[in-house]
Amino acid sequence: MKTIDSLISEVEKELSKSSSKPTQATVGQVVEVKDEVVLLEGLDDVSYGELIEFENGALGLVVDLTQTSVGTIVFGDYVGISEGSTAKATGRIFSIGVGEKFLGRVVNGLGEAIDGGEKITSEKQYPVERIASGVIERQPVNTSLQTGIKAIDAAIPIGRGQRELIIGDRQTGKSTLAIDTVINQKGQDVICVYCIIGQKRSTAAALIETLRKNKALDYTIVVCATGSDPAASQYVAPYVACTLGEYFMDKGRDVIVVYDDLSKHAWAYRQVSLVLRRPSGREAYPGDIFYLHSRLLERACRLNEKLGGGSITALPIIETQEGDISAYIPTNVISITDGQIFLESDLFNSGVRPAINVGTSVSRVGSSAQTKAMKKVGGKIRFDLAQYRELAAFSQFESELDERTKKFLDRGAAMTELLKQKKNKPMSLAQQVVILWAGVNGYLDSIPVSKVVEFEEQFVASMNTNHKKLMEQINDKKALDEDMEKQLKKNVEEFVKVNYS
Amino acid sequence: MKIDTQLKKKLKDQLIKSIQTQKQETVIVKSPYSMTKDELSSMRSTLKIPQNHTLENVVDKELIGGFVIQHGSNIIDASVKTNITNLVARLQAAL
Repeated sequence: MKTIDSLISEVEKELSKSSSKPTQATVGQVVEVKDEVVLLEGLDDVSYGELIEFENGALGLVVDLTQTSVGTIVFGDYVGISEGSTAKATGRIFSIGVGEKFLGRVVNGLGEAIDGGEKITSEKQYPVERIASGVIERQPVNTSLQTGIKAIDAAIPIGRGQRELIIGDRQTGKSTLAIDTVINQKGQDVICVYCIIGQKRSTAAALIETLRKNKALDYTIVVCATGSDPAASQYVAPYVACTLGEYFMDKGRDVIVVYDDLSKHAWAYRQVSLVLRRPSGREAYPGDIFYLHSRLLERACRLNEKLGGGSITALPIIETQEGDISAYIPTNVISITDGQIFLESDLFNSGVRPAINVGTSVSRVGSSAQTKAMKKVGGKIRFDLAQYRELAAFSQFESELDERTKKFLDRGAAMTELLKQKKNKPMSLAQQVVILWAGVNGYLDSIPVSKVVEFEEQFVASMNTNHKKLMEQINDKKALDEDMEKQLKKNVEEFVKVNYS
Repeated sequence: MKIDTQLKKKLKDQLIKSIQTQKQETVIVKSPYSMTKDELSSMRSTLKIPQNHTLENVVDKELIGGFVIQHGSNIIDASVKTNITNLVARLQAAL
């Protein structure tokens, strides 16, 4: 507790500092207050995207300029703003502080700390709306980003600087996929920014706790605009998240930004647009809803070596309704991104978790973003699974199957089983490679499908303890040469012989 | 090109009229007490307010002291009220 004396001295200090210089400002009068949108008159020289300050200290962003009025969205408490009150133009374009100190912190949609910790000291100011890096400043995506999820790393590889959409119904494990990817970046020198838009506060709290428990918060920034935050701050949150990431990209670091999720972001923007009386189009979304997401996701890129070679990988999430991917927002974001991961509730309910549909999921960057080691096993997996699906559908009508077909079906079932993975348990490259290698080379054929998961666990554990050197080699070199393959073959054969014969 | 003289005259009148009405703007000075004529004229000369602008004095007790000059949406604020609000905000941030 501060004593009155110390308080008085504090006040005196402030008073001596204060200079009573007259201030010059551009002001406007509030004429209309609607849900989170305030219309003003006056403010003659205000520009689009400028911040204005209301009498109660709340900040607003100019998003609408007409001949007579200025439309703003309010970030703070808009209930306190009354008709006729004044608002001052700050002369600042909407920008936020960025810096290293943000790591491990939880911030709101405006980049202010909300985790109860001390105020974050920023190193630089970055504009929130920035035009994406140009063509000359980029280089092709060619480095792999390890998600730690077998099905993705093997069949749908993601590269650093890519934009890969995670799409699926509610409760299909979309966020889990993104969280696992974040957890897997431990020790990989990758910065993560997790942007929560329009989710429940309980979900957000659980997510932060999961990251903390897995020690993933040290290299992560959580930007949190939940369902109970104003639509205005949900609307700007992803841009703020991207801006926080851009600071690290400009320093030559690799960054992942997860936008969880962009459907809710579109809803928030739709709300603001409708209140501003902008003409609405399909599904009542405004005309610039495509640009809303394209300008955000375009900011994901891989900079060339001259600019430090940093990257932002964007992992947007879209929630579909009853698997309808031909709705407006899903089609928009599918066309913007460089590929998508489909999650299906049927697969999820039948126990295939992560519920990735490997057939319809694609990565447009493809195998150029895969490590050499993974290339050896990955190509085969897609082929095996594609053949399996075709045969499985066909074989339902056939009562008698020949040996070859049966073998394919068994192999496919085993591979499907092999791609299952527990929640929050991402695997290292070597772990993935050894088990998938065993799968594609037919060592699982003799093992009953129900035992595959058990086999995987034991085999990976045994490799980790008994053949640590080989595992380290795979992780370091990210390749599987002939010599290593020979060793691996010997180990697998030995393991199968001892345990499963 | 020949232009009808009557049309020319009409246009000229219209333009002169619009210029005259446009330029007549008011500058408002708010103060807690009504200002004297001398004070207003000295303010007019220091601020270099053009002759076609009218200077109007509005009494606003809430300002406590000082004055606020308003022209369109631009204001120059030298009131005690604003100084106090700023001080309160600064103290709240500091404590």
